Amino acid sequence: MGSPLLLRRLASAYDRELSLLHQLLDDSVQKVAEMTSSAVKHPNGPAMSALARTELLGFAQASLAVRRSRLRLKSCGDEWVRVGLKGSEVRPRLRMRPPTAELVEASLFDEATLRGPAGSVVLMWNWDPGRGCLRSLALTRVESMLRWGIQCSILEEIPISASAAGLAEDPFHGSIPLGASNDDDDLSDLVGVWDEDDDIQSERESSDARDEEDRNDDEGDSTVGER
Amino acid sequence: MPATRKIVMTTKATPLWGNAEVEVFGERLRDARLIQRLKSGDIAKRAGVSQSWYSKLEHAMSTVLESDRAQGLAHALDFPVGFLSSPPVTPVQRGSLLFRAKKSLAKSEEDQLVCWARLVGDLIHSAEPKLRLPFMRIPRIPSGMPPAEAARATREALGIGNDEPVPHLIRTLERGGVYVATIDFDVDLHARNHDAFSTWIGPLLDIPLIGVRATESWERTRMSVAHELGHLAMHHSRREGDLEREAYEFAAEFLLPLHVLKQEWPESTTLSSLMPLKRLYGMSLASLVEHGYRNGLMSGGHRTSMYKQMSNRRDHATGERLRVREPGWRDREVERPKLVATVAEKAFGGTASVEGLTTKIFSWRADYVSKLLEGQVTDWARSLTLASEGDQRENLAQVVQLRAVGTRRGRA
Repeated sequence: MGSPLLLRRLASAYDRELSLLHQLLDDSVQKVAEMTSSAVKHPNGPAMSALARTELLGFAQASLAVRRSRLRLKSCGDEWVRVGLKGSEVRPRLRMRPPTAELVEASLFDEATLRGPAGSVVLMWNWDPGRGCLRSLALTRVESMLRWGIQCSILEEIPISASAAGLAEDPFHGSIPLGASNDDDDLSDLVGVWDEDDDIQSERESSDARDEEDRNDDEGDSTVGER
Repeated sequence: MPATRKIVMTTKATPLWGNAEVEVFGERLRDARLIQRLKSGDIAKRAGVSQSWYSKLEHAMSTVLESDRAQGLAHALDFPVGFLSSPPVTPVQRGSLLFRAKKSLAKSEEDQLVCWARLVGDLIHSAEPKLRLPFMRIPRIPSGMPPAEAARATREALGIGNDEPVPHLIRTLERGGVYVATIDFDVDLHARNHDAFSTWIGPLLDIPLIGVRATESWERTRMSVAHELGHLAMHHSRREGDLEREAYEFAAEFLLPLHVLKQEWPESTTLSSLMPLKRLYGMSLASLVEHGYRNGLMSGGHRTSMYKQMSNRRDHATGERLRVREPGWRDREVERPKLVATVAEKAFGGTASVEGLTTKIFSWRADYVSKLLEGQVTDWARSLTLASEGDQRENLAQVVQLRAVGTRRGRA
């Protein structure tokens, strides 16, 4: 199921929701990375996936931003997370990117293309064990979800960014609003100093100066008043 | 002016020889004493004068004294003579302050806070002729208006949208012409039984001031400031009724309007499901629970259960109970003001030290001015107070050195 056009439309129509998902997922991954930081060895893929999944569902349940958005996250089986996007029939699954994932070069007139777009829509995430945070999240169309661990061909991939600016504009995304820091506003425009020169200059002096400027304009530019 | 106050008409005389005379103001004497929470008897003893005479001095508008006498009083009070001889310009009186305070707040603590209000008032008064100060935008709420409605009117007057959060409450108020002073009351400075106070300063008592005790809790600071804003807006001249309850209701509605609360209230109310509201609207979980309960969004039993959870559960990082330190305590910076320092900097920016600044503001004692600036978050205030701390450390080092020399001599 799915088509290149559908995938792009989906990414564009739900960019806010997908960015929000990126943020939530990053938070969950970071939390799990912190939890497991004292372990001798980094958790392997599926273990990380399972822990992050639990955290993600917890974060989503408590998130005001999720409550206010069209994003809905539900557990699906023991390992999967189903990403619901209100108004869309496509409910992509969220899954950790398998090591076998490989982008397949699209070729014209191959059998699959002639039969029509195929595959499944999956949101794939990957983490950066060195930095302990989310490395990537992408909306992908994979050829098949069978034997996922052994072979995973990606037909199309649209990376999702955190798009902090977009989220920051929304005051309801549930995190600290902009301007909450003590340094965000320096009040520089709030208090003015009376300019002594301006104040001392009397109204008459000001009028004289203005009159002088006007006269200079008239005298200096011969084209003034021609038309 | 109280009827009991004795007004002494004075004339200044400066003889060509002998002791010069100094006009000392009763209010300044009292301010110098009360800000330190000292008793008049102690000052009289220190100055070697009778208590009744000293008391008369404090109650007189002003008295002309021989310079030696004035110096003696200044020494006893540990304040410069210049301060005692400066005509008072900030007519804040005890009883005009409104508080978010414990009931155990002593009269002397209240007097002390009045002195702090006068210090800020004096600073603004000195700076005012040089500056265009921000326009005051706090509305005068007619008595009888319910607190929730008053909060909505105040939000509107300050230009805050209908359902918008207030990201930085202190900065929003400063932009609305409210001066805020955060004071770190340590052991020496007392006044520990209050969270915040508010009053009106300036010769015409038309400049709003909020004083907040410096705490590490951003939640408490925001609620205290919002509470005082309620007093400023609703209780300018009214003193009857349950003012504290009204101010709490005002504060909750100001930070998180009821229509937003209803819209965002989670279906299953738990501490974690309230966290997003806490983060976004900057209200403590306890205040959210109260706000929800008061507006019928949660039952009494549920409210009690939430409080029990907060009392029993502990913060993983600090080990403290959630009632003491709520989750999310590190989510925001504790709000600190900067308008008072900005005004001082713009008016007296050339001043390179706190001591230099005190000469511009009626010779208030440098450590109090420094304390006031420490609560302000501008680079200028920081540099001034750091320089002042450096000087103090240097002085202390010299004292220690002198003691060490003395000890060696003693041994020899």
